Amino acid sequence: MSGTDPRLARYLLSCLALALLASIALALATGPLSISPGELLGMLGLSPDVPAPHIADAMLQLRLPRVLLAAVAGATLAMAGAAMQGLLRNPLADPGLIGVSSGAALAGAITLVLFSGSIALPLLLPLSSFAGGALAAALALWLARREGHTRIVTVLLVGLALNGLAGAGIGFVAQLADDLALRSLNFWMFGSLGKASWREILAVLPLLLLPLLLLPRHARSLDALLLGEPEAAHLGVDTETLKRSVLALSVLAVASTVAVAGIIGFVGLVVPHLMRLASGPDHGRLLPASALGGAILLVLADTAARSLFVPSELPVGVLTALLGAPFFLALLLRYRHGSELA
Amino acid sequence: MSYVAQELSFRAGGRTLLDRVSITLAPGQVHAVLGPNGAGKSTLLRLLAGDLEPASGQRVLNGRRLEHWTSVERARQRAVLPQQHGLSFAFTAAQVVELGRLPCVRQGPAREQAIIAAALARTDAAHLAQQPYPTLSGGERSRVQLARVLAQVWEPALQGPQVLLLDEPTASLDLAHQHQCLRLARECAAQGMAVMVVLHDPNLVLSYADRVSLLCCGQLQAQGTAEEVLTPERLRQVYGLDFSLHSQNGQRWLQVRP
Repeated sequence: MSGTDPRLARYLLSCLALALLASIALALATGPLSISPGELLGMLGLSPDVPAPHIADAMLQLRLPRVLLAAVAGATLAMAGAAMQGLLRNPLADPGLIGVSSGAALAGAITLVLFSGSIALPLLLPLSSFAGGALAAALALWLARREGHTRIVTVLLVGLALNGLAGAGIGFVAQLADDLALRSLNFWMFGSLGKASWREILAVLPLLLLPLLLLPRHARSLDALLLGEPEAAHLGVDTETLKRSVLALSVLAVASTVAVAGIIGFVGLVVPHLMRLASGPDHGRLLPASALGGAILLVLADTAARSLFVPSELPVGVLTALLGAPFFLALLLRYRHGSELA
Repeated sequence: MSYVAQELSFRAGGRTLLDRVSITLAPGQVHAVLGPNGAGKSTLLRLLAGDLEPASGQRVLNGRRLEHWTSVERARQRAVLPQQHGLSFAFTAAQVVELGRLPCVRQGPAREQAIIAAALARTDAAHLAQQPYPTLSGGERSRVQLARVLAQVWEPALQGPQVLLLDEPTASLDLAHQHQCLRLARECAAQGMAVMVVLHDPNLVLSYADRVSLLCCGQLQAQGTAEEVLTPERLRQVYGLDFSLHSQNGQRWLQVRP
């Protein structure tokens, strides 16, 4: 929408895009094997400096897929968060808080234990995560719906219960797991991009790109939905189709990141909120800005997670939770007096 | 004939909220709907808007049953001003009005901006264009929402006269803006639209409405011109108040004896 200064939007998106490139370069250059900026450009054929073959190999096989996954997963999580907040007309809605992530994680954990070592695992994992996430979302929204209205407080409370239930479920599954599966399970609990390899990325990339490409198509309808559901219908929006479509895409986004990286919380809450301050609530701008912001946040967070306590690695989910939970509390306090929680 | 509704009934929670009400909104006319709280005015408006499905009866918009219109076709044909104006996200007033353009065939950025500015000017809200909507007062919000509704029906539709459904548009407005709002309703009617407006003040009805439907307890008490319907006797039956009718220089008004 062009109600406010469109130049700001253009600058915002270009600035974010530049910042993302810089973050990716920083992430690629950080780690036990050091590589100079010139050598990075050299790998792209843009500079005469060429790194040693073993360094180039490590870059291509280990660091590049990890950084790419961080960027795409961060972008998808943040955009899904922004879309869900639009859908529920509430800036506090986050896929992690309403239980989608833990539903996906529980289903993923069960699959991981049952099919540990199976070659179909990279395919089964996203599928079962999606089913678990969708089930949790459907449950949360169904339980919170009263006389045609979805009360956000109830959604958050149901999410709390689902999170607790899924945590217990994962703990129970862990009892049944062998050592190998147990180590993988740990990664579900906290979220980590440490397992990223090209094989996993290629399996999950289409599932992450689908919401990233399709959600912005609903931007104008989501804007109208912010006016209220009947008002959006008066403006010609097919609200039932819109809600189903946005919800399915958001669940797909969250469940796919859970399948490949476990629960990385709060990205979908913090990033859209910060972007809304700069871009306004208009989804045509907010969705791409959130995607770029989410990519930057997760690329930087993952870089910090793997380089803060070398040689051991902090799960990136721990770091985003450390950043996000106080932020969520601050938001709660801010909206405490408003009608947003009603 | 613009919008004809026949024998509309609506039930919810075991109660009959609307009982076989028929109404015809004709192009060029302002049709007021009057009645005490809980009379079914908003239910009737929401049935006509397509928010609710009637238990029985039918709605025919420009010769075609409402169910047979696609949602975008409907949106080009009729605009609705709701009673509540909740919006907690910080859109500017101009952005809210721009949302009204969603179903329209867009005309290029410059023309669109001109329509938005003109719609805001018509509701005396031009100075609010860049204000964040959540910071506006109740009356200012109503005027911005009214501008959004006007922007939605800015160009004539291809499939016959357009319909405006306004649910208590004067509720939070000051006296001057109440009259300005109803003058706008008259202007829209003069452009050929069929306008339905839910009102509480019988004197506004006398001044601005061509026809009026008086509702009470979900049933139609009377329908006709304002002079025919708004008799002191009938208003006393409906409201339980003592009314007297005065007239001077062709202007009529009702007075309530306290």
